[in-house]
Amino acid sequence: MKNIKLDHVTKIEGHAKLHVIIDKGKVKKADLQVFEGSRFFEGILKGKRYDDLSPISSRICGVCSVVHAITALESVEKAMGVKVSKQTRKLRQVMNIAGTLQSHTLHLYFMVLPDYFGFSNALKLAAENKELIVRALDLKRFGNRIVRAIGARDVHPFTFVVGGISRSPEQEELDSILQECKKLIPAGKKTMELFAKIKVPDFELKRNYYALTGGNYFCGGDKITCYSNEEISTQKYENHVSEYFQEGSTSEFVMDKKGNSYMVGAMARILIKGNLLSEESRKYQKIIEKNKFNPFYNNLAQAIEIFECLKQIEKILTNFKVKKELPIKFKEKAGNGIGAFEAPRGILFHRYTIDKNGFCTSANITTPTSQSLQNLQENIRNFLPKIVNQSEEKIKLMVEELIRAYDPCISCSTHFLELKLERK
Amino acid sequence: MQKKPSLGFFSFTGCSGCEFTVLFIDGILDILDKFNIEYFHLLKEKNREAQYDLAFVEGAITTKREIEKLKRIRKQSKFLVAMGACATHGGIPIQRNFIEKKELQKYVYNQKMLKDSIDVAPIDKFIKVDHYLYGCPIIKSEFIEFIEAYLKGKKKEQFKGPVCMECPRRGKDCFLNQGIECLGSITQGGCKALCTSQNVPCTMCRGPLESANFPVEIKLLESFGLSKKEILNKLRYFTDKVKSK
Repeated sequence: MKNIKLDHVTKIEGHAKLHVIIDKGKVKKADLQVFEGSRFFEGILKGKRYDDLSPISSRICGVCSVVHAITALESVEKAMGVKVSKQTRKLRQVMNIAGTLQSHTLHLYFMVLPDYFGFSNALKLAAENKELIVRALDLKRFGNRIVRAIGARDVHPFTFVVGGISRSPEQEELDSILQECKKLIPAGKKTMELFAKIKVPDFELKRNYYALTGGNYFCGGDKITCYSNEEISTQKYENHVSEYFQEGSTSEFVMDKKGNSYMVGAMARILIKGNLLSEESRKYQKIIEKNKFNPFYNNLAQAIEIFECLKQIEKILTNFKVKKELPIKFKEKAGNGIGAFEAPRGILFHRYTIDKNGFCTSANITTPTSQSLQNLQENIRNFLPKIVNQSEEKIKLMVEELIRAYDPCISCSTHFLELKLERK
Repeated sequence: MQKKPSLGFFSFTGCSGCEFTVLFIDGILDILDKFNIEYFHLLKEKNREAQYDLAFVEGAITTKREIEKLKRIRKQSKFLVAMGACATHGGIPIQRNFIEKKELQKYVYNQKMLKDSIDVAPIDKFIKVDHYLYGCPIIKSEFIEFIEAYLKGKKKEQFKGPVCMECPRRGKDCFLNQGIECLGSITQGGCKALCTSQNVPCTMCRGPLESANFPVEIKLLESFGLSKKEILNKLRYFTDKVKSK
């Protein structure tokens, strides 16, 4: 019996562990265990005042703090019947797109690309390929710049409050951002070209995809559309999905009520609402459609979205005139509100119930990673038999590549990936 | 050529936002290039346990297992920096300590995990910390200044004084004069009053000053019409230093 202990899976956000047992060449067990000291966010949020819910839930994740902050606000505003201005809505959209740009750039260039170029990390890649890293840094800096211009800080932006924004961004800065955006569009194109050229393992597993529809591509709307053609109102998502905990893991796993897994994120969005994207990325979208059940193509899907982030930011900021606005006035009101946004990794739900004094009496947060985790686990189980005869090192690398293609964000669904491989 | 100092980034329970803030620094690759990076799981494979000249520790301590790992890192490190509110004060995760036991049971789905669980604590409850980088998340310029001083063999002084010292609203449109709960006057400064300069009151993410007088602060907030619950929620955002009377 061979017992291979593989240390915790790197270059993903957070910590997770995978325990694999291979008995006489057959995969007997492949369980994803995600665990860190739990933070019990839903317990922490209960009893807090309406204006504390966004700043606290932003801290669920340092990578997707932008989208947690605004989804929480949307949920609270729905619960208390607060209607924000058109400008606030647009600024939240731009900041969310910038958050996706930050996240995808970091993931693709710093965590995924070194694998495919045969470097163990981005620093080594940087030393060898200056052009690539300059492009990556330009894109990352640009995403950060937008989040800073609107949210005052590139991680845990804090200017959005219930009812609006604490201060409007500077017109001059937004104009300058638009100019930089135009200059960066070729970098977005090159990103698509690059990831379209990368050869990925040949692997397919039929699956369902979910994305938000009825609104802007990157932010979503009031409906969830499944690849299987079903449509669900976001306000009813809790009736449609079940959350469960797997033995040994502190993370939530989500499935639909029939027990089927699904995937959310870049690939889901392109397959479900690619029609909202530009003509220029059409030929790359077709590659995704052709390989619709191969999760390794999620990387290319993210690359397409980097380009599309730039296009959408350009579109929204063209002729955007900032009005100096204050958050609107409102009174605390009892209610239940569900906020849903497309986060970089897929649909994020926040649901809060607020009492008449403005305190939260119950909270439920469903993150994209917890939704895709079950599907990832099934894919690992189906992928392993294909590579079971490879060397241990190769198995580790390929499984990690598969995990990274899902871009799991473990803080979101909690923390830790250690890969333990046992061969009997 | 002089040997590069070895560097490790370690993460306990938190959101990784401070590590991301580091990665978001312009010119970060040039900064990291001055070190041998031995451990940074967010960025590289083949992280190995080694001797570290410099270690950054992010996250709060929430399990017995984490205490052991933290102590090991301390032994292996010549200079150790607590990075961000979770490491320096417990941060947002420390709010867990105030959830009632009965309530907490509802969220516990794994009894094994519960056995390993401890009250959330900042890292200096278990080990000696050589320098603190405050904030949720940390401030990039403070990180850079610290590194620059370190590479010159100097130790960066901690900022002394409250957030108010750098606040642009001071003496003009101070939140406190308007009856708005702002904790800047009892909060460890050095952030250039980032939040108050953007019309957002301070929430004490850098932790309380040693001289912070909580009973007086509580009276002040009561005079603004805040309930006891609201006041404790405010004061316990990032730290558990404030006990209920």
